[in-house]
Formats: sequence, C-alpha cells, structure tokens
Amino acid sequence: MRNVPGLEAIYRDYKNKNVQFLIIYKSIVHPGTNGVIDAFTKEERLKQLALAKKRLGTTVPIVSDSLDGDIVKALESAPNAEFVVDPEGKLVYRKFWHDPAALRTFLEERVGKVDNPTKVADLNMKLVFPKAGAPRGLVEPLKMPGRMAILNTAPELQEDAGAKDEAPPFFAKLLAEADRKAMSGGEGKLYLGFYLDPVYQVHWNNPAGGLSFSINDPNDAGFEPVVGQTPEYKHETDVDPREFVIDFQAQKRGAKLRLTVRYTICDDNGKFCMPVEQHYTLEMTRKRGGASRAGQWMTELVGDPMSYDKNGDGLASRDELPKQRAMIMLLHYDRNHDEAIDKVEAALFYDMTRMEQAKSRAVKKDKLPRARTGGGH
Amino acid sequence: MIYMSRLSLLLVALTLAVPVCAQQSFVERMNQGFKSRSPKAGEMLPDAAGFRADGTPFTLKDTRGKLTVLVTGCLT
Repeated sequence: MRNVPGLEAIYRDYKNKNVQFLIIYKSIVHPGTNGVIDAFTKEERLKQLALAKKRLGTTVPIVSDSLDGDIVKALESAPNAEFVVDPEGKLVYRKFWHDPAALRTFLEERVGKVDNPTKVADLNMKLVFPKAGAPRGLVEPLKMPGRMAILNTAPELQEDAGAKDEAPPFFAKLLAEADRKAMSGGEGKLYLGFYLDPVYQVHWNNPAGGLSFSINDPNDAGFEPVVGQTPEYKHETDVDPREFVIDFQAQKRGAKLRLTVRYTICDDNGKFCMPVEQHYTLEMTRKRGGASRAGQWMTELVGDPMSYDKNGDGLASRDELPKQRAMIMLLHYDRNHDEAIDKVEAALFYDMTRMEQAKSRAVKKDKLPRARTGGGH
Repeated sequence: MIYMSRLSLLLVALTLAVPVCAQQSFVERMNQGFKSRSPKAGEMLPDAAGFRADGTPFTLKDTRGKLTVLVTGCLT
C-alpha cells in the first residue's frame, strides 16, 4: 500500500462529489514483511485493519476481504489493483496496480476536475510504526536451502465458544514450506517459521526457555516424531521470527501431520507472561495462492539490492534501482520507508547462500561464470 | 580461438539476458493474468462478501448507488 498518500489526495478531492472510496484489505502477500503476518481469525483481521489505519494514516474507509479471500478471488485481483464501478454495479475502469495519477485523470474525465487538487506533499503523511515492545534483528534470519513451496497449514482453533477455559490466541503463527522431495514423501527439507503477530504486542521470553516443536503423524503409529528446539539466547527478549530448516521425510506424498509448538511470551505492557502450547495440521501439499517467507522469491528475482548502489553512498535509492523493479524492490526491502535500501535492509532478506549455490551450479554446468540473477545492467 | 571467444561472449550475453527476461516476464505475467481473468470494463462486478471495520458483513453489492473506487492492498 505504498500509494496510499496518492489515493488519500484523490479521496479528499472527490469524496464530496458523490464518489465513494474503499480500500479492500486482503490477505498478506508476503508474510513477515514489516512484521505482519496473515490473520487466523476474523478478530485478528479486524485488529490488523485498525493497525493498518493507524500505520498508513489514511482517512479512506477500509473494509476487509473474507479470510478465504472471496473478494480478491471474485475480482481475480492483483495484489494492489484498483477498480471503479458505476452506481449500477458495472465496472468502468480497472488497473493492474493502483496508479493515483491515472485514477485522477479518469475521475476528472468522468466526474469533472476539482479546483486546487490536493497534493500529496501537502498531506504530510508518514507511515506510523508502533513502538515495538522488544528489540528486532537480534536473531539472524535463516538462509533458505533452495526453492520451496508453501504448505497447507491449519491452526487448531478453539471452536467451542462456551469452552470453560479460553485458549490463548496464536501469538506466534506458523509459516511452513518444503522442497519438492519432502512433499513427495522422500528425504527433503522442511522450513518452519514462527512469527510473532504484531496485533498482540508481545515478545519472546527467552529466559523461560526457547520455542520447541514436534511433528507427529496421527495416522501412522510408526512415524518417528520430529522435534526441534531453538538454541539458548543470551538476550532476554526480542520479536524476531523463530526459524528452522530441517531434514525431513514424511514417508508418504501429501501426508497430513500434526505439529505441536510450545513457547513463552510476555505482554509488551507488562501485564502477563505465559507459556503456550498450540497445534496445527501440517499437510505436505502445496498451498494455492500462498505467500512465501518474506524476501525469499525476491532474491531470485532481483539479486542483491546493493548491486544497484551506483554512487557508492551505501544506499540503493529509487532513482538508482531499475525503473521496472523499483516499486517492488522498495516494497520488500525498504523497512524504514526512506525510499532507499540500505545495507542492513538488504542483508535482512538477501540470501547469499542461494545465489552462491546458483553460481556454483552454473560453473559446473557451463564452465563459465554466471551473472548474478538480476544484475541490473 | 576467435571463434571460441565469440562463442563465450554469446554464452555470457545469453546468461545475462535470460534472468532479465525472466524478471520482466514475472510482472508482465501477473499483468496479463489480471487482464485476461479479472472483470473487464462494461461487465457487471461480481458479488463477494467480506466485512467492515466494525465486523459487520460487507458485500460488493453494497457499493451500488454511487460511483465507487475500490483499491485492494494489505499492510506490507
């Protein structure tokens, strides 16, 4: 939602001209970017909506897609598409990617020009990031071992509203991916990432023990449980994801497994600390339309963002980035929203290991050095 | 020898060109998919349901009666 200020300006100019505006908040395209992950429940989505409103600083009304993405599916929408619909419900304009300038031109032709159009600069809109209750960036992100697919996972939510003890929410949420071998039941790699959901404003309680998980096959008594545990951290707390890449064999293609995770978190406002045990169904099948670990596919697409730093000032700015890819690169890497990618931001997601692997494969195959993916020349 | 170096140059050029083409086609593919599958100008907007910020139900049909701008997006 990088173009929200542009939309805001148009909204202010046309909201009183019998034009209504709605942002449709949909599922997260790239979990983990800016610390945001997809909601498991409607209540969580509503909290994300409130967070979005605050973070984006917009007055444009926001509604939410269903958790299953019914609206986006019906519109066959792109991640940041725009549509204009006439009062009878007929589509009169659509754009693959929200383009404030083009939208304004359309509305000027359809509704009429406004005197003194609002300029984005006049709005002085800034993204507002709530202060995190614990530091970020203390646990190094894992290097992904290769191409992986997002797996179908489902949290075991407490269905019975009248249950005696209310189960705690999924403070930490699972993102699971596997390589082709693991998905087909062979020996492969499994990625498990547990991301703290920012809507709950909690942090890891490291002295109370790390995060541990176990994977079982409820339908196969012979399945040897797979377990994992984070190392001991010297720092007391942080909000970084807990990630694992493990050798894994599910025994059969598309196995339906059960994952149990245990961790301890504390509330940012000091109201509570609690140990949590939660369960997921983990299916070794590819999730359709799923979103991979933040930055993973970007590595393949554009390579090292710092390779675009032409003037050597340590920043790959919008002007230096390739025009066609600047928007998507800033979207993924620019965490402090200064319209440039610095070394820290680049290092956070740029997966050198995979690029080195690709290079060595190429050397073996072609006996020639291979250019880095997306060298940007 | 000259032939070999030309061949090498060609291979290097191809190696450089393939990823660039792949990058362009990624966004282009998304755009093409959107153009072919998403409702086109002149077509009726399909109906689908979500919910409002207060949790009450919302459907695309609810937008009828006014010219409506819809923009999809998320927090990332």
